[in-house]
Amino acid sequence: MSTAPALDPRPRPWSTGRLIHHGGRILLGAFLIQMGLVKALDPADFLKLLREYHLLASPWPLNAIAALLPWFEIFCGLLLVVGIVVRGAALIVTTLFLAFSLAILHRALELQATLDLPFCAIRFDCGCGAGEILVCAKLLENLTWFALASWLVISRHAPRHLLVWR
Amino acid sequence: MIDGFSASAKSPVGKPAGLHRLVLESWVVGGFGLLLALAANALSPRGLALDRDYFPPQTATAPLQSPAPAPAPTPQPAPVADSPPTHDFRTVTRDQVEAMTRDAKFVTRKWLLIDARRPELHHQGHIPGSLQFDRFQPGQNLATVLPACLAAESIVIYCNGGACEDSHFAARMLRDFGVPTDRIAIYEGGFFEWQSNASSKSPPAP
Repeated sequence: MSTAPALDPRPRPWSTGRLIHHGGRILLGAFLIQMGLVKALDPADFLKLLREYHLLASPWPLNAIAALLPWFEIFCGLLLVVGIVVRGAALIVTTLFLAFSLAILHRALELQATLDLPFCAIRFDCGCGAGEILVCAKLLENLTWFALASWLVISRHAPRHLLVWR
Repeated sequence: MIDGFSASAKSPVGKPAGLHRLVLESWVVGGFGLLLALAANALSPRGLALDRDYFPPQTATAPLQSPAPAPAPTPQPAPVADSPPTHDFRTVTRDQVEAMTRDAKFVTRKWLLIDARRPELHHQGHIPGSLQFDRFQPGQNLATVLPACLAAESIVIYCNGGACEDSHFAARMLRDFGVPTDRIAIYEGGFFEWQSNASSKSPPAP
């Protein structure tokens, strides 16, 4: 009695696609940790910058975002770097980048109306952890991170289990 | 084994079960992340109080008309009349602050100078003789600053200057702690003006 060799349906662990996936999640995770740390080390400054967006009038949500978001970013970044629940973390990061970009766009349009400058000449500290930056450059950067995070969610190289190294 | 998806070469999100799993994963990440963020904020020495209003609105009872004691006997015009009506407190000029720091009442702390900037900035440099009071972390030095303010005849508060609002908000906080409003004044030029105008004239910070 002979048995047919079983086919292993899992993709090879170190294929090029997998390596790019690993590189992408580590890059995105490291970026989130760095940006989160800058804000977590000085949440008061982050709070002042958030207030300038004029999106939240009540102190409670404003304080909550300033106090919790940096640590939340660090947490998501760590998950991505370490490789735990990568797709869940990447989905949240995608949502975060979308929200950040909309907020930055709103603030930039507000500043443009006040300063009467070309849109891409608008420069302000968005509270993103990198100081003052040109709005177009920031939006482009966010779009890149958004695309990377989205790819981490939908990529066929994304791990099919909670731990990426399995 | 905690497989999230069935084995397939296609995108796992294409499967309804995979999508469901993905949403569940993101909720778990969100929940844990929120809990950890709350814990980290509570444990961090720089954590923020979630329920505190760090930017209280100014009161309608601005004491601009009250004859508050001038902090320094200088020939400058009275700052009260020049104060912008948008602020709760009267303002003082650099010359007045400089004269104040040379007065005997400053040495005996009858006249106080409060630095409302962050501790790191205070350590990097400040107006000589000023006490540091960070309104975001009032617990750190309120025990020193508040009794001194309550005992003082006149208090001048400053931050960086320009668009900096920390001196105003620190003043409001001290007022809320019982310091009479008419004793408080704001040096709006702030540390930048102090430093840029005559840093060579100022003695080294203690």
